[in-house]
Amino acid sequence: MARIALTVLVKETYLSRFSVVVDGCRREGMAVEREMVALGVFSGKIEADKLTDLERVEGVASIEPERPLRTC
Amino acid sequence: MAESGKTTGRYLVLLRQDHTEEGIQELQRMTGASIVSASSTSHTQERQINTLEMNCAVVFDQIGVALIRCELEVGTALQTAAAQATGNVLLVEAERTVHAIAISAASPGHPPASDVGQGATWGVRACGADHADFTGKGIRLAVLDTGLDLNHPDFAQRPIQSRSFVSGAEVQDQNGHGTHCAGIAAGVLKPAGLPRYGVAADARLYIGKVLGNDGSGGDGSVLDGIDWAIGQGCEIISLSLGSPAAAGDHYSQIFEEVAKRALAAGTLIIAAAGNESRRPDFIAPVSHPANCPSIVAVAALDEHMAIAPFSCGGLQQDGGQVDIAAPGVAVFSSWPAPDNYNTISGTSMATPFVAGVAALYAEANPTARGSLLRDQVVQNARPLPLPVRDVGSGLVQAPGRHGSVNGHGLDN
Repeated sequence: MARIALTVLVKETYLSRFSVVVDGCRREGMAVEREMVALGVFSGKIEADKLTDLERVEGVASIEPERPLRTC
Repeated sequence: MAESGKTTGRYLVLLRQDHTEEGIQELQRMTGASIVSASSTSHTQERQINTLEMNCAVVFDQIGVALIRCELEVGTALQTAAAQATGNVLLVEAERTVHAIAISAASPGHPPASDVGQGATWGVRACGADHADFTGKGIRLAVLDTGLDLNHPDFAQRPIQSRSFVSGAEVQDQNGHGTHCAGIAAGVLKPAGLPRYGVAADARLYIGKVLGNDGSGGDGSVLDGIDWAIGQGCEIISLSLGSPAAAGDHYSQIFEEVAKRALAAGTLIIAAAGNESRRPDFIAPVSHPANCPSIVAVAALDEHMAIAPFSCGGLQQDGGQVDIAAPGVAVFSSWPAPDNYNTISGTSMATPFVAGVAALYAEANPTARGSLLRDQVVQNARPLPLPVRDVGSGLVQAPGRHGSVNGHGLDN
């Protein structure tokens, strides 16, 4: 199964429990690579078929696949 | 960004992001072409591209673009199908002969003819920074890009905070793009023997390397850089980067929420509108993440106040608008050694002009932060006789003497 890079946004009401949400996603199989605590965002990789499990983790507001970015 | 207008007999096909596989299948069905992936070694890739045979295509997986050689009628049929925008093939263009940005300079190291003998470059003069009472003193300005030439003579003595968010890469800029953008935003007042090219010379620069030396990166490293800049107390973040958006694409909810949280923390994010237009024939929508409502989207102008042919347009509402415009054609600024200076074009160049001007407003009015700072920058632009779709509120303008702009005080 292909692993996809993704970004996870933590709900505003869960910002004080940021690490709890990160741990919840780790338990669902996400390899967390970057934690942006001030933003309430973290990113990493997960197998594509586990994406829906991630959406059910308490405190997750939204999930987006990572986009490639370039100089303009 | 220079382009000759010549076509090569090949076509560029933009595939729907995240549906590249389906797009390739669709392309194969429509053309019958034999398709290979370009995600092999760069040597093989180069050979495939240069020797592309009739009815063959190379797919660039990372950017979701295919390059195909086919008969004119097949190319025309492809363009018609893409115009309907119902499938995973979004856009088809005849490939043009283009030059890399760094090569487009007429004379690296020397200012263009329009800047020779002037106290400041045309861009600095156009936004009025050379007549402003402010230099961004005390304001923290983050440039998130390919890094900076930390040994550059115009930056070596400056107090600069820097950090790399690219795995295995140092902040030291081996691309040039980041050094150019940092120079526009905050280059020195008097570079030796050259016109002034920077806007906010006394701003405190925060350099985040979020793009590799090849000029590419991803959402993760950029968000990491934004997080760092907010944590460092930066009032302004300049993003001369983007990912092309397709017509009808919704903006990123995550970047929008991040931009709102940044504004609430007193940090304004300014981003390049994108270079995907080929005016007058084609206008592309504003790129990600500039298409987020809470991020300022910047278009590029030339020195005659005409919209740059590559500058993306505000085709979509709800964040997809262009907010403001700034100099973005033939812009002279700093560059890594040995050239030290270069003249290039892009909405990338327009963005740090707005970021630098924002630093001047932030210095002029200590209560203007976040959305209030955005309003001051956008509302004080000089209106232009061009569509709002292309230039938003107009040409960015620095606060003048004693904080006035166009005869208005800063509090309006």
